[in-house]
Amino acid sequence: MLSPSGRCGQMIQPVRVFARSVRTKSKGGLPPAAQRVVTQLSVMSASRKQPKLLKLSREDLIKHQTIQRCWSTYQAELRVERNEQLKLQYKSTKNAMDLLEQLDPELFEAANAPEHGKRFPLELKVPTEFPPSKIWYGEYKKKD
Amino acid sequence: MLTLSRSMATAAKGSSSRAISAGLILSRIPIVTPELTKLESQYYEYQAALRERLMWTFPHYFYFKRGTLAERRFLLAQKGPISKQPGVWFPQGVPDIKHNRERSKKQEVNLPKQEREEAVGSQPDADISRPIAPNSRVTQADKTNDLSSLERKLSRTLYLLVKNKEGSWTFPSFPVEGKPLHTRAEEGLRELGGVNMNTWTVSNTPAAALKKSDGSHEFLIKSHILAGKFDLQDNKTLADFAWLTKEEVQERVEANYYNEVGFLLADN
Amino acid sequence: MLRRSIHTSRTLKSANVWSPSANRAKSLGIRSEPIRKCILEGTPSNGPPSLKRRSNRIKYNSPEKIDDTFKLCYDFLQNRAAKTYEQVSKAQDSKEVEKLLIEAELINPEVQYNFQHNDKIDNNPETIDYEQPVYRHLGKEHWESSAQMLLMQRLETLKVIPDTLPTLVPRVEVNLKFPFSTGVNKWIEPGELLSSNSTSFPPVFKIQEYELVDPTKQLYTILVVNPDEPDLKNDSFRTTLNYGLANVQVGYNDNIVDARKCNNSNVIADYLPPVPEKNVGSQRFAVWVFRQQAPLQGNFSALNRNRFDIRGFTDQHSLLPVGAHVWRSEWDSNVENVREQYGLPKGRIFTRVRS
Repeated sequence: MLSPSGRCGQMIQPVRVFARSVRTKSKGGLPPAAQRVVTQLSVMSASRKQPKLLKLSREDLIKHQTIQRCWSTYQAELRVERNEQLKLQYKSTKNAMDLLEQLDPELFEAANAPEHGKRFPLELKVPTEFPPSKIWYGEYKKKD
Repeated sequence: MLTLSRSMATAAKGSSSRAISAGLILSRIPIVTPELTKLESQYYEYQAALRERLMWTFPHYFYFKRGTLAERRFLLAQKGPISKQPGVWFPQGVPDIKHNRERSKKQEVNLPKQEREEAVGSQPDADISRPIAPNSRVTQADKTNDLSSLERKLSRTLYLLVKNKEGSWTFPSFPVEGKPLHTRAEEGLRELGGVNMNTWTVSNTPAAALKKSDGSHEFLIKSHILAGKFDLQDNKTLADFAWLTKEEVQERVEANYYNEVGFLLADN
Repeated sequence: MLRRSIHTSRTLKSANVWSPSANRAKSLGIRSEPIRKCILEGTPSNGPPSLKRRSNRIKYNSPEKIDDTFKLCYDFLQNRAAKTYEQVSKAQDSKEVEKLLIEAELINPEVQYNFQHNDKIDNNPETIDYEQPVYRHLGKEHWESSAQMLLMQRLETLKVIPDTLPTLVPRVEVNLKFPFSTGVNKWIEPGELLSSNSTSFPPVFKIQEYELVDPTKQLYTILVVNPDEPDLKNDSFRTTLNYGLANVQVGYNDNIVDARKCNNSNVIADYLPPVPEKNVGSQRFAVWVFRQQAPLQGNFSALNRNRFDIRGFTDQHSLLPVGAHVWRSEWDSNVENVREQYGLPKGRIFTRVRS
């Protein structure tokens, strides 16, 4: 059942005027709204954004493998030396503590005391590629 | 086998074989990233080139709304690829273009040049669109080779070394006087270099123990300087101080002293 | 950390240990001069020479900066190899020398090129020379990556293990081929079903040794057994010996065992082709390769070929099984011709009901 107001609206509808404009209906297939979605999806699809597969010639493949192997060798060497240095440092700390225990048990206790609540200082900064404008805060004054 | 009386204050005290002193390895960590070796920089360049070649097409339609001036300016700045033409022979392969990109090559994205208006205000720093000019990695202290400056050799870890009146270089060292090692090291540092220093001691635990020729022992504590300056106070035992890299430390200290502490120092 | 010290040590440009010289094996370098130049000195302007068609060469684009980076990396690796060669001259133990030689040449791009782009089974000793420790190492890795696993899977699913021998620790690669006009001219995949025509002449074995042995002294025994011969009397199956070779000597490269390689003194049992009877199903023919500890001696004509005890035989001669292979055969219409050819009696025909 239509409301009175709805009937009223129907009655005042003007005569339709035909004018040539952009075609909104496709000739067949999907309705235009769906077609638009399909077009947009295909534009956004991953396969259209991906570059072509990298195909290497035999020579270039060997070159690439050599480069990668060189890099991993280099990294392995760095790693080995770093680990050796860490081992030496650990051993040195252990020897120092053993010696301290013999020489002065009180100092040993103090050196071995748990350091709960010790925080990493915020002032220590991660190295950056270029220095900041003010390189070093040298005007530090002791707080009371 | 250390022959010199390296310790500054322990020598004055009665040197019993049980005497203990606290040494301090005070370091300034690097401020900039380490210098790349030739192999490293070349490898990174090669990988960057590969990554660019394999990068997905830049989605300019995501960043620029259609029909805007910004999109137009961006598209004008791009150098379009050669597109496929009927009846044309392409010896380098038929172009395969999707989204205005030749798929078999890397995509070069040119940012449109912005017409910069002349600085309106008096402060050029206020203009946030100014081009970025990085600071130099080589500082004034590097040029003058100022060893007492903390602003030298930004890519390296620097260590504080002091020279005594006899002219030998060591890490600073202090008699403990019954206090814990790390406390004594920090106090001693401030006695030598003034109180205006912010340091952070890594641990209470000593990193190494050195045996001296008189039979006393020195325990080395590691610490970092975070701010402030080491100003050599009036001192009867010390002549000079310097912030040095590992290699420079090796040049100055005795060979057997370096053998015992060399591995405690960072290589960059 | 530690970057600096490494960096300075690299600056010394030591001897070019990888460049061709008189006492360096030819197989450690690339034979084709243009390809070698392309790898070591950079791609020429007309494209990589491994591409045959000119149009493909023009179309080809190398990755950017690959040549410069390669040169730097090549020098780096060559320096490492030079250091390893110094250690080789000091090393005493032959195993250690072998290990160091592998280490020094494994990172050589020319060796990698030769191995990756040449036939590994039908190897040409001028490119892949298995006398070189590095090629043995690469060959072993290649074999272990697929062929060895395939072989073990086939041996286990077909129950060759433990129907013939209890188990196998594979150490040599065994390949099999029936090269005659009737055969199939390819290396047989383990477990393949072959027609009686193709197996009517003795197979050719290829025994590829990857370990450090003395090829002039090491002897091998090859046995082909069929564990699926019906044994009606015991209501079971018996094992027959189809082919037996002993005291076979193979080299690292010259390792195809055929009529030229072995004479009558090597043959301990003549070849009997697979002639399965009708309706017995497929029969397995297991090839076992053993390392001998000493030359085999004795009267092998007394071998009981119809009821062959392979476990007893290996124990008796203390043979170490190092490799195996297997193929299968079924009755087909050609079996009768093969039987005639070898003067064998007519085969039985089995039915569901025992007569």
